[in-house]
Amino acid sequence: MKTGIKILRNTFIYSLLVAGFLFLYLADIDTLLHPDEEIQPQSKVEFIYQQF
Amino acid sequence: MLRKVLIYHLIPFTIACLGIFFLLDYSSILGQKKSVIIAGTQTKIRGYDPNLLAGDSAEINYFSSIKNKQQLTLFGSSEFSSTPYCSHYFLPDSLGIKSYGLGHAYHQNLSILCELLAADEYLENSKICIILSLGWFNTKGTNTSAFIEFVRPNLLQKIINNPTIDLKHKQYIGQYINEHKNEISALSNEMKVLESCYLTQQSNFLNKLKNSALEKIQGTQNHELKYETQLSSNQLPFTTIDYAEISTRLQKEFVESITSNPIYVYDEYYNRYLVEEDGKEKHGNVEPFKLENNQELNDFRQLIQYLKSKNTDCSFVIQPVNPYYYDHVENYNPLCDTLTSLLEKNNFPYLNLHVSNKEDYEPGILKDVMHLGDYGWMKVNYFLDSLYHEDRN
Repeated sequence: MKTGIKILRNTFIYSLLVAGFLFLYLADIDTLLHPDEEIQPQSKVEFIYQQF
Repeated sequence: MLRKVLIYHLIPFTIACLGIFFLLDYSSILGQKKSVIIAGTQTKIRGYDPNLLAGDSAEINYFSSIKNKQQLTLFGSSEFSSTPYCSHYFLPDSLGIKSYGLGHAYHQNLSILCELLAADEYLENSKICIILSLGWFNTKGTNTSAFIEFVRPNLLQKIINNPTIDLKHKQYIGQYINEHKNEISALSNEMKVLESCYLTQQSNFLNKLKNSALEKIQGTQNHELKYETQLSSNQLPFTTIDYAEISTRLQKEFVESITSNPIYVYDEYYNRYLVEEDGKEKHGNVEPFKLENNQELNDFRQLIQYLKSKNTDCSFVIQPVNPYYYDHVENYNPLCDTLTSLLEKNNFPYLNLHVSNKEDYEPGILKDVMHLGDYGWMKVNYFLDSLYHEDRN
């Protein structure tokens, strides 16, 4: 019985850790907190229109 | 000891991982996407847009044009202008064929592929013409500035949220984003999702797991876009025209209008771009270039493959360059052969205007060193009329 509870407890802890890793680290906490905030990508390299 | 680690840690960790991935995959809460509807009426059955930066109205006109089986959609670049002989004006105004053009300089194969992928659901039997510039294939492919300008976030959303699009196309875009991300200030969510599509196939097992989770998590933040477009019911008047008479007149007018040079370039352009400070005439040169691992050619192959799979009514125009200005134009021959053989293999009709010497060049095809002139546009119009005339309305 004790073993079962310990396994359950550890499963719960690992679930929190995995979920935390995925959502907070991988998915970037900022985008999760502000899901509607649009990122406007811009090119860092300026391309000048050339005729040739 | 080992048994304890297995029972108290390895098994709970495995169950935790599986549980989380199950949740990511099947949870209705996480999987729910916000549905955004962009509704409007098609207003453009003639003319062109340089890009879709105008927002919803431009997107509605673009998707409507692809959706409208009686309308021709032209994809091109810097040759588009406001001359009445440009196909997107001439075909509707003189022949009654609804036409819409999209693009300006640097609108190359990858951007066109993305625009088409976004319109995937409407592509079957759509009338499309892609105007190719040989100069594209001398570049390192689409530049990031052009990619960001032409491939708008809404288009990427459409691509991501369409499960019928083959994963290899999503991965192809993801690869581009991955390889160019150092040139982009910050990746948008859509870009991250597509990049992770590519990374998922590339990495080792652990990274695959990580990227797959990333893809799912970020995928959940996306909106599901729907375009509810009402197609224009306007009918265009149909007239017949004498191609030979118009073309001969336009060529004659063009040649007679040039007073400053013998290389068939209109005066204003010649004086502005082709004369050096000391009064000498500039000359261009087509350097030999490799076709192996040519990024633009790879983008073109991907585009052809996709168009073929969608059963589109698509045609191509290969533009020439002016051999009076450029030396060694014959260096484009291997490229041109590759392009035409790919088109023939996939049964796409094409008009090849490329010539490799002065003798074969018809003055007026181009108005300068690389952009179609009115006479050249008439050749394109004749080609498009012969392909799409049955569907005039």
